Amino acid sequence: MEFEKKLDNLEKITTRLEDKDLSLEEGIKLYEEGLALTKECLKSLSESRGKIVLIRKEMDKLTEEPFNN
Amino acid sequence: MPKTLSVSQLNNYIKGVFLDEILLHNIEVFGEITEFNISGGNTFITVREGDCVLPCIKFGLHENLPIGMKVLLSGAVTFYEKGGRVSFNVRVIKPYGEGEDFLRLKKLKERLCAEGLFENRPELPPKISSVAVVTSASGAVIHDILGILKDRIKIDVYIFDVRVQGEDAEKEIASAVKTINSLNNVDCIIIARGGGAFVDLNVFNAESVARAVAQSAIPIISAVGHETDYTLCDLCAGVRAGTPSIAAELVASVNDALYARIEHCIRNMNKAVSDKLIGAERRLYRTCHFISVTSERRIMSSYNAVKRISERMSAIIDTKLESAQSDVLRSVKAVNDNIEKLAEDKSRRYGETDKKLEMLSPLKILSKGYARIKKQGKNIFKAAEISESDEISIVMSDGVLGAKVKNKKML
Repeated sequence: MEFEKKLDNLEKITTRLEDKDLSLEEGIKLYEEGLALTKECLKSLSESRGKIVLIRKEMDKLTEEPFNN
Repeated sequence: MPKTLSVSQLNNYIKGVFLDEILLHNIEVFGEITEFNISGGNTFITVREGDCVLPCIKFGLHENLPIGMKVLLSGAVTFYEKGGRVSFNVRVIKPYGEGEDFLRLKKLKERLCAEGLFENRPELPPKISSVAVVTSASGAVIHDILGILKDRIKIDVYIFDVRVQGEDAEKEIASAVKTINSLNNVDCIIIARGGGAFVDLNVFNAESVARAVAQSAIPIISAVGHETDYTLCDLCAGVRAGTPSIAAELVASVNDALYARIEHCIRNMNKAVSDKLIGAERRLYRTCHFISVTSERRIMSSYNAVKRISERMSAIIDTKLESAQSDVLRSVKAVNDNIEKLAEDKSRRYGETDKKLEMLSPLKILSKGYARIKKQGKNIFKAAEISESDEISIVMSDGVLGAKVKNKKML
């Protein structure tokens, strides 16, 4: 599932959880689903390694090297 | 011998010199706008030509003019004695010289606009994991951008090192945008350059750059020059940032917003479940309390009933026990009585029997002079059992006689 869809689902779950008529049992089930989606979303957000790469085009060829900030 | 004057005397003298110089009352001057500000209801412009600058004032408001635009200003040169500075009082502003470039740019802008290049540009995606930055790797701009991105989020940054001014800049920037689109491994692009003169920003007004930016399927943030400078690159990009730092902030804020949404969900989910648990706990407590109170009543009621039954049982048992005890005592007494009576009967009967036995005793009979005859230890009751010469024993009441039968005569 795409990140955006996961986050949308998480928000829908949150809204449903806020329904006062929802039973505790259903609520806990939804809460567990919500926690799983939260973990997936956070994991997806932390996938990047934070690398910084310098790319140059020389003679129509791309070269890559780490960028020293 | 120099003349000594006060500051006001000297400034008023200079002002007079300017006023006396008729040529300065109506003059035209051309230059490139380097500053354009509106303050206190008046318009302040600085124009430059070569190494020289001229501060100008146009009383009243004037439409905003871009930095770098070459203009022809008509007005008069004055000297303000209070500030001690020369100023050009502008009456009319017109485009001049490269102002033609400005007009050319205006026409190009209108043409690209008519083609729809400024419309439906992709906006920033909901999540940014990687960004390509098209800028000079040797300038300060990239450090400003990285400083913000590194502090705020973990994101992969691909720096496409290009020239941002000069002859090849236009080609390099357009090429970089196309290359990034063909690689298609970033979520958005930042095209960045620090502020500069109008001519320095011309690269970003080039048609090739504008078209490359407009054709990019990857969202582009254009951060060229200062906030007051608008280029064709800005107009063709989906997002325009006033400065490169603002562009970096925009990228960071996309993920910040995601974290905020997730945090909002976590907070609200926790609260919702917590509320439900508290509600359930309260219901459970009320139920338990009700059961407890009800049970206690029932238990007490049952206890009292049992206690009453127990007491009644106890009373009944006591009564029965007493009765039984009396019965037992009576029975025991009766048995004892019977035993005594029986013993007496037995004793009496023993006495009678004893007397009978005594009466029947052979010794009693023997004591009357009778004797018993035994042969070889056996009692002899008939003479036929004895033969002549048999040795017999004659048992008397007081002794036994040994005898030998001399003869026998049967009766």
